[in-house]
Amino acid sequence: MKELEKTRRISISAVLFLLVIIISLLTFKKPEFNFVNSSEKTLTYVANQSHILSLIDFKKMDAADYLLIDVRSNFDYSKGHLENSLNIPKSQLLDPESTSIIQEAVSNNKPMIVYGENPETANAACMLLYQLGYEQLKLLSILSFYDNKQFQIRSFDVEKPLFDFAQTMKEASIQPIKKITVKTKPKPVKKKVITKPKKKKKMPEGGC
Amino acid sequence: MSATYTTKKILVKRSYQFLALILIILAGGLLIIPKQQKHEGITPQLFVKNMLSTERYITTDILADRMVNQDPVLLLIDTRTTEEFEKYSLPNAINIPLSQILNEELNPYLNQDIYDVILFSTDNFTADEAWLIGNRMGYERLYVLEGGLNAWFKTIIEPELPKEIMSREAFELYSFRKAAGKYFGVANDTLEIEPEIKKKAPPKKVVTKPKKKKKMPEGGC
Repeated sequence: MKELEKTRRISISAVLFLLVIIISLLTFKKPEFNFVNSSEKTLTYVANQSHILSLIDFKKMDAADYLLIDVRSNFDYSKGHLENSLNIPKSQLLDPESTSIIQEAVSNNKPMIVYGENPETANAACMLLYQLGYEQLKLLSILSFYDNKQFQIRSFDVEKPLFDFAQTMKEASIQPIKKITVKTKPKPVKKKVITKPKKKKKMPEGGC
Repeated sequence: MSATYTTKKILVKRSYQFLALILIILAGGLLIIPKQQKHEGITPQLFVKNMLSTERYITTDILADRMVNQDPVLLLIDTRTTEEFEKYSLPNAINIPLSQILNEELNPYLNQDIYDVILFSTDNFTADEAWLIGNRMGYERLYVLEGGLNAWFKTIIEPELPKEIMSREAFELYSFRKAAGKYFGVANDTLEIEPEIKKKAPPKKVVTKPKKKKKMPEGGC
């Protein structure tokens, strides 16, 4: 009888075991997207800024040689965009339609050029695509904006200091010394003026 | 009886073998599964979600306010090169050039949950790249100084005087920025000297009084 109980226990556990396997197999989903390139590799890709394409170099290129992607919103794109550009908003980069477009460019061995409102926002999209495994990627360093209801672009140098920081800081801290000397001068003048009214008081007294 | 007993014994033995076999197969299966999702950090979907959010940006005004109030959980990280860092950087900032952020020695500054790490560079391009790498790795409490040092100098060190038609808030912001600028080493500015120049005007009024004096003694005589 003991042995019988044992077999029963084993069969129950076996059934449970199989159930767990079946359920886990049914719920198992292969993730749709995976990061292919590691963080280290992405870092070396961005750290030397070799992925940045200037407007001058871009203009030299033939439109047939690349896929130009506009990562701004649909609305901004409809108002105006660069010639031959294709709109894939940042939020829709992982949509099936977008991936099929990108895959097609990859299969045609076309490099992709990404642009947006400014290089910062486009760079986020650029880094996402790179990490997903698309390595033929360039970032167009331009500002795109509307002027007189016209879509316009302007070349923009990233990380270009607008100030000489150390120098500006030095000048800013020197400034007060010059101004303190200016302040001290008017003060003695005031003191002299204050003494005069005292004489006034004495004068009428003597007159009476 | 003994015959059935032995068959049962064999059955039990076999079922043990059978179970062991399943376990071995499953263990083999485990070796295959992790290969499909072998990447460090968060999923691409979450990466996009975080990337689209502008929560990571902190303005220069908020940063200045926190620095003046000596926020203990604030940690400033300069992602520019060492040369640029040595020339000038924000007070109490640590230099971790972008290429070094995954360096084993320096990485613990980013991968922690004690401090609010503010990344900054000349504008926010390099800092944003550092943030995106950190985002991928799942680091929390990383922020980016909006506009970087360029914005810092434009707003805190050399703030623009608001026009007269602008709102009271604009003037309050200006005076805050001026006060913060003083804290960071910019001393008295032209605006404060202007009223003192105006103070020179009162002496002129006093000068008119002595004229009365002259009349007084005349009348006395």
